[in-house]
Amino acid sequence: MSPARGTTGWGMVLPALAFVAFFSLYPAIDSFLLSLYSEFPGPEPAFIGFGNYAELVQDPVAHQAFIVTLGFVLLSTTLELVLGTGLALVIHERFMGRGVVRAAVLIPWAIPTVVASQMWRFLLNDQYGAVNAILFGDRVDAYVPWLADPWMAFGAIVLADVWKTSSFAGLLILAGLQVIPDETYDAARIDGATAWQRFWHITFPLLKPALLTALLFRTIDAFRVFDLVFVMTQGGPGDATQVIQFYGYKTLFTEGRVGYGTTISVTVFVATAMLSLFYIRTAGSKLLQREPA
Amino acid sequence: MTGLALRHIGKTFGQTRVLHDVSLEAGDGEFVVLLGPSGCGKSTLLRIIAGLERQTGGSVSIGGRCVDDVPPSERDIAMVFQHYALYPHFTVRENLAFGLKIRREPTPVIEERLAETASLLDIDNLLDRRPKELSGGQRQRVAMGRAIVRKPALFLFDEPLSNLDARLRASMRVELKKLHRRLGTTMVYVTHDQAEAMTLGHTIAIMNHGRIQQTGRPDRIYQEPGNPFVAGFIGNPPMNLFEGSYRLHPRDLEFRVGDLTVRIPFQAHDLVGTESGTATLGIRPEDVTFDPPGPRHVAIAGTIDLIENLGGDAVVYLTVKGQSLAARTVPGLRQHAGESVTAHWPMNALHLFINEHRVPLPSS
Repeated sequence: MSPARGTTGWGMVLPALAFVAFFSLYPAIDSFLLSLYSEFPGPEPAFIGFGNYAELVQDPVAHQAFIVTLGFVLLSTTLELVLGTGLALVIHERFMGRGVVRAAVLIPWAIPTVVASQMWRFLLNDQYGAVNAILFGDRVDAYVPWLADPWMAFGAIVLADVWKTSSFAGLLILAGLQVIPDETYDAARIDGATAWQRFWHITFPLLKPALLTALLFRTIDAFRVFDLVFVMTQGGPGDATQVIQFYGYKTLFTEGRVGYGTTISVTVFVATAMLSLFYIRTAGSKLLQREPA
Repeated sequence: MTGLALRHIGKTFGQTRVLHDVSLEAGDGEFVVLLGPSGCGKSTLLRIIAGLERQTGGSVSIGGRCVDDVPPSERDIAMVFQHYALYPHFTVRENLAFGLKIRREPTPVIEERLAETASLLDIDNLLDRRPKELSGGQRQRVAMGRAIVRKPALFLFDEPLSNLDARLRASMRVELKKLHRRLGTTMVYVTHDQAEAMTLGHTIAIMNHGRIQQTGRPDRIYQEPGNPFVAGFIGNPPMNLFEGSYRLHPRDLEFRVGDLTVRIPFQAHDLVGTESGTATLGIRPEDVTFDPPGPRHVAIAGTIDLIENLGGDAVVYLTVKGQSLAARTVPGLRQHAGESVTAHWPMNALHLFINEHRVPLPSS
């Protein structure tokens, strides 16, 4: 490459590089540095090395938050993939009004999480929520305080997340379905495969790359869940729905422990980064390769 | 009896009518080729035979049994698809065995059939590979193997060679012919390639715009095309067709297009209807020569536009009396592009079409 072309090339990528450096790299590095201090670095910063990390390893509240987060990730991701596959299979079929159905399916995903969370909070409100009204009508004494019970509150945030993001998983899976040639199904029909056998022997194996992509996106997103909990339960009742990100937020902004709160954020960042690397290592090569036609 | 009978098949997709009253028969062991340009409905017809599409009207019988309400898997057919349709996540062995496993054939039977088919198609050494590890030709063999292994009563081929390069296509064509001779099973083969149709088919059905234009033996279709479409579709380069007008005289028919007039010996009673009208006159490029004319030859002076030398023969494009004419001849013509030449052809090589139908000429 000639020097002139090299300069032009650099000129073109520089804005993007600067953007990434300023908005992603700098905050990440600065956060990491911040996590090495006990207080907000002032005139006399209290540098404590990995002290905050040592504390995090021993913190029972953090352990509980991790367990809640893992439970949330496992349950919501599994449900979203199963429902997403179902949705994708339905909207992949040709039927009257398919376009409308496809658009309708995407509505929950298009609603901002904060709005959706608020909506679910209203729906599940123990006094004037629609869920109680529909289930029990006038029998006010039977009304269930959905968000006040630890298990039901946990179920509620899972439900809200599944409602909101199954369609996103469905969309990714639909893309996977659309690259399976119709001829493959025709061949299977002539071979004598029933609808279920076609799904099990053809669709499912060929859908694996798309399922893995959806799994990757959904796991990472679920691991970082924050706004849903913030709006619906504030981590309560007790610590029943306190996910790790929310614990970090509380530590940092409510308790003012900048160093420790940042440590939690950095830990979540590292955990999701490792999760991504793991997926890309195990499934990435398969995701990138396409079967020749 | 494992022949095929299609009776008055019609098919519409929404408002579009893609097949009109198609009737066709294939005897036991016969190799029938459906030939036509893209979009003529030939693949749809094949899919109807397979049961992958439902016809709007008419009926399909395989082996004397009406199969209109029979699903594809129970029609005792196997199909080879244009893009092979191999299961990409299965090995060749699994691809071949899938249909048999689904039908719960006993393992020894599956193993035996697999070995038999693999050796027949010479794919023994590919059994543990996946489709993406195979070349186009190898995939084609596996696709055929998947059909053969089931021992169906009827084979359906949907442009199976169209994704192969010219050389491989020619060799696969020969193998397919041998395979048919060996298996003796009824085959229906869809293609837009007339060379495949001419070499493979016992019978060719030429289709256009959802209708069968002509059905018959390949040589008969070539020598006596039933209408201008068939005349222009079969043959390479295609038949020279002139659309003009005719007038009947007591002993002959005068055909006129622009400045070109040809008088053809003709008996008036052969022509139903009018004394004059529009007609299409055809002459195959291989029937046009530049040698000294024989008796009963038409001779016309023209100018050479272009000569294509193809090695074994040459195609000469010329203009005669304002009309374009192609001639297929041996290479080594003395004249060059831009020079005058006299082209002629025997009278009995002419093809005459009136009202889209072939009119037999007494001399042909």
